[in-house]
Amino acid sequence: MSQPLLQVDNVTKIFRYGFLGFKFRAVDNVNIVLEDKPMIFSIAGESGSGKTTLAKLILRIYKPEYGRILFKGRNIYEIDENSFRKNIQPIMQDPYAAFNPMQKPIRYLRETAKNIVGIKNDEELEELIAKTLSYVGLNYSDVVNKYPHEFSGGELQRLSIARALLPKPKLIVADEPVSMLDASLRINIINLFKKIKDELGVSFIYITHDLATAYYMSDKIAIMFRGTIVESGPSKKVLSKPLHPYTQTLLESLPQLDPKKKEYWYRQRIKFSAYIEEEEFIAKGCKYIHRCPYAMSKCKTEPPYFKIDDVEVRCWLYEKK
Amino acid sequence: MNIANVAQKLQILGETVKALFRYKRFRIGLIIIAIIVALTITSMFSPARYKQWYAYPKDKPPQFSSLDLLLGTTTNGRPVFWIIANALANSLYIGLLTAVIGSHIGLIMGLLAGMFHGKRIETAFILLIDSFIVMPGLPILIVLALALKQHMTIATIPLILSIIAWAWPARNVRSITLSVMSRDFITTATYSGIRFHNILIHEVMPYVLGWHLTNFINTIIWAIGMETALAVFGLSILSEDTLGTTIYWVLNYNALFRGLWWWFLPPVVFLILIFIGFYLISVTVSWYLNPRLRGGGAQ
Amino acid sequence: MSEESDVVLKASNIYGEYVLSPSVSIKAVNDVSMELRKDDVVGIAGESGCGKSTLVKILYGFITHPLVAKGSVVLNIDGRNINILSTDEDYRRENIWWKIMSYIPQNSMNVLNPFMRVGDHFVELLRKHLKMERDEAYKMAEEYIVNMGMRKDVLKAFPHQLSGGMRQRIIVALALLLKPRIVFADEPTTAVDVVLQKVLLHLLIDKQKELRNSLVVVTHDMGVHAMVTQRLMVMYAGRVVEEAFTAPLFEDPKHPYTQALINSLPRLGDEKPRRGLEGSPPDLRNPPPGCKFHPRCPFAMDICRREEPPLIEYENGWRVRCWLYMKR
Repeated sequence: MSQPLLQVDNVTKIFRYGFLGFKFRAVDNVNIVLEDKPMIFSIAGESGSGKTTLAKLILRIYKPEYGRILFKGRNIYEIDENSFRKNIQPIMQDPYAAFNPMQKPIRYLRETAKNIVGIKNDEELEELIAKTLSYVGLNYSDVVNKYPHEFSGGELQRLSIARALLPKPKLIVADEPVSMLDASLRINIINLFKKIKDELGVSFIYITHDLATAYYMSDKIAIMFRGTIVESGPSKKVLSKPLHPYTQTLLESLPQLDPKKKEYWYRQRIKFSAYIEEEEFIAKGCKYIHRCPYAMSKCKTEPPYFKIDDVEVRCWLYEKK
Repeated sequence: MNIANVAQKLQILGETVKALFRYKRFRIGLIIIAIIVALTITSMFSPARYKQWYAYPKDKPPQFSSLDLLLGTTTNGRPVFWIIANALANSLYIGLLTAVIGSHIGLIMGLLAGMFHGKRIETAFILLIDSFIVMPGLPILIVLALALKQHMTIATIPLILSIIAWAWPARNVRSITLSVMSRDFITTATYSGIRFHNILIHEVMPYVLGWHLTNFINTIIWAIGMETALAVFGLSILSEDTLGTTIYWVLNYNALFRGLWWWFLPPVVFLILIFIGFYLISVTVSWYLNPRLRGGGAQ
Repeated sequence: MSEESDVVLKASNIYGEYVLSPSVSIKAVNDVSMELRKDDVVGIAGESGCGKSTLVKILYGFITHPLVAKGSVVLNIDGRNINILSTDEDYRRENIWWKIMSYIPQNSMNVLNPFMRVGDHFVELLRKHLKMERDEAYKMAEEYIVNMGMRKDVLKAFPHQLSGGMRQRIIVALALLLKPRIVFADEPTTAVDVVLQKVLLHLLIDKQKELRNSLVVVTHDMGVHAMVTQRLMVMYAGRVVEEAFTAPLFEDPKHPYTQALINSLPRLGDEKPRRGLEGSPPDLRNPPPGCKFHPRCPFAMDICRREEPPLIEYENGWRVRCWLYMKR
């Protein structure tokens, strides 16, 4: 059993906001193990679930208050900057924000090739860039002299991907990489991710709120709610036979692309929280207690993880007697 | 940084100036300052004796007979016209030098304070900047002026003023730097292996430079105003002519009540004109820099 | 079959152009005509730059510089006909907006006045249009909010104290407060997660069923269209390219763009590999000649590059703009 590629070990991130320093755990005691083989691991949840914070923790943008993150067995804060960036690269949600509007994006590709890949020779550098650009479906000559505003969102996102691929990383952390793109272009980027995983052996952590794309491309999935993972396992299984009440609600809320399912979708009513969000974050016990149709008095203490086959669920409903 | 880059940056600068020219506010401000600078240049031709007291008949109202007497004379028997010309030159000089020193110190402090966000040294920077902002400027300058009276010359007043002048620009630059550092493209830059100093110069500075220009101009105005305030207290260099010291002598000789309008009006009018001129330029520049106000065009 | 008298809004030959400078203008909407009936739930689909948001703004009468609108938008209310585009903004604000037509803008989370409490937003509307006293209006607002599934104390809060999702629900509630006959919702679910999306859509649909008003949902999310709308209009580069009843349209889309749009979306439970469109929407300052979709169309023929196809009636209630369907 080789070491896992990435291990998130009991990680908690606490934020405080507001004048009186209201503290809340954006990420609460999260555990993730990513095996050392090429796979796409989705982290899904609504806004405020902590998924973006988790991505930033892995990318060393935020530092956890408790717990640690290990890459191939080593604490990420003990790995030197260059090695870390050779192995882990990000893709941002907003393609236009990912590049400085005042600089040409090609500059970042050149810098990555120079600083992280370590190429000194100019010719070699341009060659690598041209090759990577065509791998993601872009043309070197179309790209090299333009500024971000001259590209479309889809093209910029491909540029981001090309830049992230230059050092041949082991892991790419993609934070909602397609949510700002037009619907008909999303599948192209998603297919590109799959191609990169299959051909180059790169693993992805794919943060999303779109369960349909998660189903389409990911191998494993973790569903987050208010900072905790409530269910995780092989994505096809979790998304077709959801165990946790929240996952079930998520799947029922998804609009279907089949107008015949209209009545069914309309009839599913969600008990949506009338509370302000903060109260959910500081709820004692299971965080889903205010919305859960099956809430019991037991739920006032947070349930541990129960394993049903290869799916882990955090819900008292699955306690084995 | 090669010739092509520099040429390109100069071209962008040229285009920006041309764009600014389209605004009436900017043109008016520039014209006012141009007139003042023209007057300043004439000060180079001041006759040697204009500094001597009683070299001319005193308290004379304006006469068109000669250039010297164009604005009359003071109770000290000095020609107001040449006094004003030199006063403008000195005041502008003080303003510019303070701006050069003070706003650049502010720029560096602000940039560093912003870029060290999250690190422990940031607190030291914030403490330093905020202490200087909170300190009451004029009283401190008064104390300093009193203490350093012997050493004050037109060249050293800017140094004293700079001690206070750097704080607001630093705060301003820090907040811009912080907001730039929180943007996604800084993550891209970090993950492209770009080092700290390169991030500072190529990613952050382009956003900060516009504000730095505004800070620079505002410091000019501030410095001229501060020197005037000190002068009115008698704490400036009374042997030299600045707009401030002119007002000091006006007050000292009670020119207001004695009806010597040709003496007390010019410094006040020119002070106002300088403020308005620079303000119009500064406001147009900062308005132009704000993409939201301008209509969202790319820079 | 609905009668002529059922038509509440008739838009004819709408053009919408953003005039950026004497030489540069973006032709966002190019000759669009449509009808809205009572109790109609219509969707307008299409991607960024297709003109759907501009179209809805023109229909609502919210036309600000540099947008220039041409055509006629005739409202048929209580027997009277009013052409929105021939009235001025004050008239619209006094008589039409909020009362007869409501508009829920994109990214509406930030539309509330940050200096007013939520309750005051409601009270202001009620006092202005229904001439109520303050206390009466406040009580009505309380009942209404509870009716919409939120707590009374939300009214006491300032907008920044509430989450984005909560604010979105309040905007929808405000838009429906005065029981308007026509509701335009522009991307009501885009910045929002799936669960909140369902809540918002339910708010809109429930009220629609109750009041039998006309609802126009503008979004690029085809899933929302499938679940919500009865009729669907697909736009591309400022033109209508297909218009039909929703169920048959999803089953057998005719226009190649609609086909690509529907087929490129992954569905839960379906692992079949899918393909998306190549390229990007045309630059509306310099659109290509002929059919605006031809550069990306897998079926492009010679005539498509030369001439723009007209919008023809393919079948009963089905309109397409494509040379593939021209009967000779």
